Amino acid sequence: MAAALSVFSCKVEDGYYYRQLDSDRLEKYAEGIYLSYVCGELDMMMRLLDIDHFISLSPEEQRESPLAGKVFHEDGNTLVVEQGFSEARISTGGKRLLETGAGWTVENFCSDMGCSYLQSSLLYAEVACKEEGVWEILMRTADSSECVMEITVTSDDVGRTGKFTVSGHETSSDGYRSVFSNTGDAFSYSNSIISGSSDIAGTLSIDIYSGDLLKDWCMITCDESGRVWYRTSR
Amino acid sequence: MLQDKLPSCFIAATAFVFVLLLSAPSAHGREKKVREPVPFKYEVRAGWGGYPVTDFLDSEISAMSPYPSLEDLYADYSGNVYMTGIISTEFAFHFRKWFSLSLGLSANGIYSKRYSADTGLKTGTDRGAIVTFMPQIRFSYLNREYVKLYSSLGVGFSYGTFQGVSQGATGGQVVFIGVTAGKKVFGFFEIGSGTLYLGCMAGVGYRF
Repeated sequence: MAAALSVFSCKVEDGYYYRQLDSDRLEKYAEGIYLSYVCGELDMMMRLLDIDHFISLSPEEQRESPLAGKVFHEDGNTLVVEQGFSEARISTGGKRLLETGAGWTVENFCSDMGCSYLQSSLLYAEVACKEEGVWEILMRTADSSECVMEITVTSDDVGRTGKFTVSGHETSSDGYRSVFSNTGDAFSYSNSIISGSSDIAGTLSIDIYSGDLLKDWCMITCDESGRVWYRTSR
Repeated sequence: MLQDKLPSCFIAATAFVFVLLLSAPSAHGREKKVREPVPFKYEVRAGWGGYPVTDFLDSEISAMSPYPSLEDLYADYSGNVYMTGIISTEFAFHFRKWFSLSLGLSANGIYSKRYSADTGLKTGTDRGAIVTFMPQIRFSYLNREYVKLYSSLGVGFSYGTFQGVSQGATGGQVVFIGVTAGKKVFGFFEIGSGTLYLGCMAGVGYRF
């Protein structure tokens, strides 16, 4: 009976064969990691520096700033940042971000990059100024994934430049673990004050483990002109 | 899962009922003159038809983000989904030669294979079913001894389960035209559209 039914059955929906793990899927995964953890943290750091500069301005200068109406003091140690459909909260400890030893904590920050992969409500970050022009950023998500970035920033009239290293990991509920970091030299970047966007050059490598077994790997390389290329294990 | 064609079916059903209401007074007038005895009071039938116009079970939902998560990367995925077609049993009460009420219980089997995203090998088979209870009113407009032509209209309730999703929903069925051939033992073939099936159904029955 079952055999007869299977002979006369009709296909009503195509299968999800595009989910078969191949080089395309690994490239997409690598792109998501790169945009969220690398570009997302860099974008957040640039925005925090903009906010730090904003709070140093006089009231008259603040009214002329693009951040006018978006950044508010909740109290002496807390800033609230309007992000359209959400708010980010920044605990400053009463210090400017440029001060050596300063530590800001950021909750619910949403960058244009990060929200493409990670939900903004999951983002929590700690930003510490280690020495003049050098910061360490620890970003965590609700599922215990985290990424550490150490970044140098040099500012001039057109924008900010510098280098950063990045390392992190994320874990899935079915036991897979991906570990990522920059390969070789640190990433270099240049951020434009006018556009707010950053050009990044460097290589991020991602290793995916099931227990202690290396299942797959992928590498994403970017250059200053914006070209991106991939190498994957499949 | 399937294209929702209910709006066109509802338009067809509404038009059919409207025509029926227009012809009702003349049918009633004929009955006043001569009420023919109903040759068979009951009928049972079993048939096999196509798959429904919409199955309302959205089980495996496509990912919204263009970037797969680590969990998505290695999760099993579903292959092509198949349906057996509706397998229907009905019991009908004949009130008049031209009018009857049928109570139908139907089942439609669903299945698909699951594959490992890592290896591409089959990891299992998902199976499910949609069970429908649907009363239908049936109008026969050609009643010969061995051949009958009819149409019908029904509203019922379906309950289905597949790939971890269980759901109930109301539904309807319109049979645009059906034919039975035979007196006591008969075969039938009908064309219709709705939550029972889209297309045609055929089967056998027995009147008593």
